[in-house]
Amino acid sequence: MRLVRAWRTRTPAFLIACLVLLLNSCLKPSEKEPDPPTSETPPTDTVPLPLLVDRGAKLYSENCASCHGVNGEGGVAGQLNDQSACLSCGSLESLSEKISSSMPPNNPQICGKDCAEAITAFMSLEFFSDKSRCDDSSRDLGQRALRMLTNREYLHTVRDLFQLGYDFVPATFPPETRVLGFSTNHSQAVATERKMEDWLAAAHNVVNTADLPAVVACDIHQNPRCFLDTFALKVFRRPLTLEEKSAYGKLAAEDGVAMALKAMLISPNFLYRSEIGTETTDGVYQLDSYEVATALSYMFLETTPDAQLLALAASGELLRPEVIKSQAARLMTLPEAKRMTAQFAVEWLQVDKISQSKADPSILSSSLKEDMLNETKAFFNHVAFHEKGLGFADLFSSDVTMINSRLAGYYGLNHPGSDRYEIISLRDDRRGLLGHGSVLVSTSYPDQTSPIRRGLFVRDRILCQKLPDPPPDADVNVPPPNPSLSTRERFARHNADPSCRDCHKLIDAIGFGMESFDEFGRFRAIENGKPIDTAGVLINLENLGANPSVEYAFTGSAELSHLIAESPKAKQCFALQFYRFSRGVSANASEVCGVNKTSARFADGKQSIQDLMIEMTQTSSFLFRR
Amino acid sequence: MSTQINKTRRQILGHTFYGTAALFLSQLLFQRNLAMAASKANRIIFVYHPDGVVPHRWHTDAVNNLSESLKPLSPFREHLTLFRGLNLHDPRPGSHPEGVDRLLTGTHNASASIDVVLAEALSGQVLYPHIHLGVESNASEGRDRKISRFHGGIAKPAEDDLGRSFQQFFGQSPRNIQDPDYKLLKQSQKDLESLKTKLGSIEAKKLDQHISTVNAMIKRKQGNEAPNNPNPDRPGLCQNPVGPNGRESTLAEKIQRQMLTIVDAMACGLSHVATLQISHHTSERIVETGEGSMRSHEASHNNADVHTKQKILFNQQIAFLANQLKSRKDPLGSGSMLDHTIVCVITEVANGATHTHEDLPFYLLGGKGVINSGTVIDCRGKTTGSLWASLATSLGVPMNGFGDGAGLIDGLLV
Repeated sequence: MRLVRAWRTRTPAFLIACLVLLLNSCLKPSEKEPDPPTSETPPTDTVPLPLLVDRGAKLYSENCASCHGVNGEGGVAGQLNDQSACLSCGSLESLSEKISSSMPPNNPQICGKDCAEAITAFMSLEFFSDKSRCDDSSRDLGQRALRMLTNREYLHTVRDLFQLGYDFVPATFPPETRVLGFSTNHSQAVATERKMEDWLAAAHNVVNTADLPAVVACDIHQNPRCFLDTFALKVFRRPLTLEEKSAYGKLAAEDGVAMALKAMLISPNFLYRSEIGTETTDGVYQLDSYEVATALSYMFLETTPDAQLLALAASGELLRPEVIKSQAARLMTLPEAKRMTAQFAVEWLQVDKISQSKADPSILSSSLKEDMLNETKAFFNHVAFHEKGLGFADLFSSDVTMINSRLAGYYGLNHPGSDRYEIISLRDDRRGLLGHGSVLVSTSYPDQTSPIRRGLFVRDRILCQKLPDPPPDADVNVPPPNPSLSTRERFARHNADPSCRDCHKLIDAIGFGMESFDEFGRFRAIENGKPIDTAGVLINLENLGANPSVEYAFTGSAELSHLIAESPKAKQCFALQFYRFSRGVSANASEVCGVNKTSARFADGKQSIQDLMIEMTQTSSFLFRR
Repeated sequence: MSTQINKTRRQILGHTFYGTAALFLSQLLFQRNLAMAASKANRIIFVYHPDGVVPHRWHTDAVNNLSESLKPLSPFREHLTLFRGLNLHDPRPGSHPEGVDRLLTGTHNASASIDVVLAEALSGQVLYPHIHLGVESNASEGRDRKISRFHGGIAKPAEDDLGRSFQQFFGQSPRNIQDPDYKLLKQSQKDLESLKTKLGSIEAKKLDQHISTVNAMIKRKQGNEAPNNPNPDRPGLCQNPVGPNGRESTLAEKIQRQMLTIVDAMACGLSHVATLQISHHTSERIVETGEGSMRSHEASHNNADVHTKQKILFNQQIAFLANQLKSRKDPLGSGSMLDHTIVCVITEVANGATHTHEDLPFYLLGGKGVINSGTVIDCRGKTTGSLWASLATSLGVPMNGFGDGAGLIDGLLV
């Protein structure tokens, strides 16, 4: 019945269809038409809704999940579990039509009308229906998991545990496989031999470098339990079990503490953060207090829990939401929180791509690239930690940035003249993050700007609206630079060709508005002798699939930034991106719903970035798992 | 309410008869395939190159009439097996990432790739179940979908670092259970097994993979000897291999360096399965083909001449690999390593410009007496899963299908 309610509110035609389905489901089998002899499954109008949804779930799993994600979270293809982020989800009829006519892209004939209706029914119930997703709070829980330490987490952890300096590098680990842009996503993190060899080498390096007597602070011979009850507890982030105490105590006694510590550093109990919990009610698991301490510490500081967290874990206090919140607030005041927020900014905006840019080094040196990346980190933290409570809107609309003198000179701005990153007033069209060199260069080709990349950047990273890939037979050639044409003129065919227009009107028109910055991130008023035209249109800002569409015209990057700054969708997306980063997941439909609920005040502009991050610890999904 | 089945008794009996007959026939064919593969290849090397080919400048109907793209393989005609009519899971055009996902898994479902499955099946005989190297395969975030997959479809990254690649086989400390690392790994193994017992099915794939990794490392410390290693203390010294010189900079130089490491390791009997992933799909790597060098993906869409030149360059590297294999005596049998090795060359789309998934430009080299070589096999629309099952069977790992591909490729096995 929930499905019927959801459909009724959206489309009368589907309401009729549902009623027909329900009536049919009440008919006796003998009153029905027999199945066509060639059909293996009955058509949708002979199937009761629950079975239709079940069939849709199976069909979705078989035909859609590999590209759109098991939970519609997106992957190779776009996100489906947020109706406002899905191009074809404006109405259920259009979605069903889209599926039956063109999905899956490589074989649309295998999913006809019945199949499409079943999948639509499933998506409607599972992905779009607020009632099913949001009213049952037990559903917005994530999965129990072992989260492998990321390279950064490993590095900070061993430095802090063993009191090693900030320049200590235990090993060179291969980069993580990023999922939806985030290195923290643990779904693809596995212990390969390369990784294990690196961990082994790092364990030797860490233990051999550390001043063990000072770090461990126990005499293993006089008081063997001291080591197991104190330092070993810190390494495993929880008390050792009796079995573990026996094994590591024996190792320490026979081969020395160093050997025991090396073994601990390659133990899964160190290398994975446990988010397993203990079963409370049917299928719902609560993290234990040490798991909460660990989750909090890595979420805010990217490192192992400190003494205060471990003490609260030992007392059991840390299971209380108000204690969790006060600890989250405390952690956000520590200097290490800024490295977490800076890293979030980098991965959210994917601006570390700038280091791979092959732009002409005589114009854009590697030092400048580093300055640009630092600008984004410093500016994000300037806003996130501002004493007077700057907010999300300032990330985009701010008329200041934080740069050193070299980058100021490059941007053509005044600077007191030092290597320090100072607050500097902006001019021209440069505002907020969209005016950062890191963003502008990362979304350009080495030899030209890309309205497509810039448009997709805004859609995907800022609005969480992933557009579908071009169809297989699309001509995806980028028009080569032409000294007699502006970029807008070169890309004009996207608007002229009807097969391109439907998608590219949602993309290029954003990028055109950012044309006053070249591929090197420099301001320009003229391109190839022609004045830059920065008129742009942001279509369906709040709901990608809205029909009729809603158009927001703007001129220049500053006006585009202002639109984003005031957009509830952009704020919701920011919250979702932080959830993905901090929780290491792609977020299923229920989790998206939970994030939207938690970030409601933030989306209304009534909460700072810091407060949003702290508030994320108050969701049921922080403490509970399925 | 269950699905209604309105069938007569006669229809049901009829279906039962045909079903039983089909099963019987398939078993017969399977037995025949098994018998045919009585002699088997000793090892397999998968080599991936990105972004498809220019089909009309690749395909040919006879090995005596090689296309310009395949010309570098002329000296190996008698070892060469070309395919026509081989499709990728579903023949309709798809995307590059879809192609990568389905390439070695033979399915769109998240599952293990054939190289990983074969490595597991043949792991009892070797110290390194899977040699998995790359050339800039992890270079571009977001475009680095891996062709090789653990169970559950989890991406298996290749080792791109030339020095690390070599060192992992030839720079190890002496194998000795007195080595402290042995004790450390044993404790890690105990902790993993304890955790696995505690968690049951939760994160089972992750833990199984971790356990498998640790087990492989322990096995190497236990001193199980490689079949032809004359020096029991150090693996891989049988050929006194020379490592990278640190000056490899072009794509060709890097590819050849990784190929040498693979051949050296296999010559020492360290592994029977290798995968070499060259770059990644939609590659922005400039392929140095002389004047007019372009990025791989850009060339695949913009310039058939340059894309063909790039494919010629890749096939020249395959010829280099074949030469290396041919110049060495097989450690497990008579003849050269090429005779007893199957080199399988793959890419994720057929036509790089249109992303077709049919008539894939795959080919094999080697597998003398096991693979029907010196010919072009018409696969009649069969999919890669059938090819992987055939190759597994040729390696003594009998299969009657893999992924979504049912049956074997007719005429491929001798």
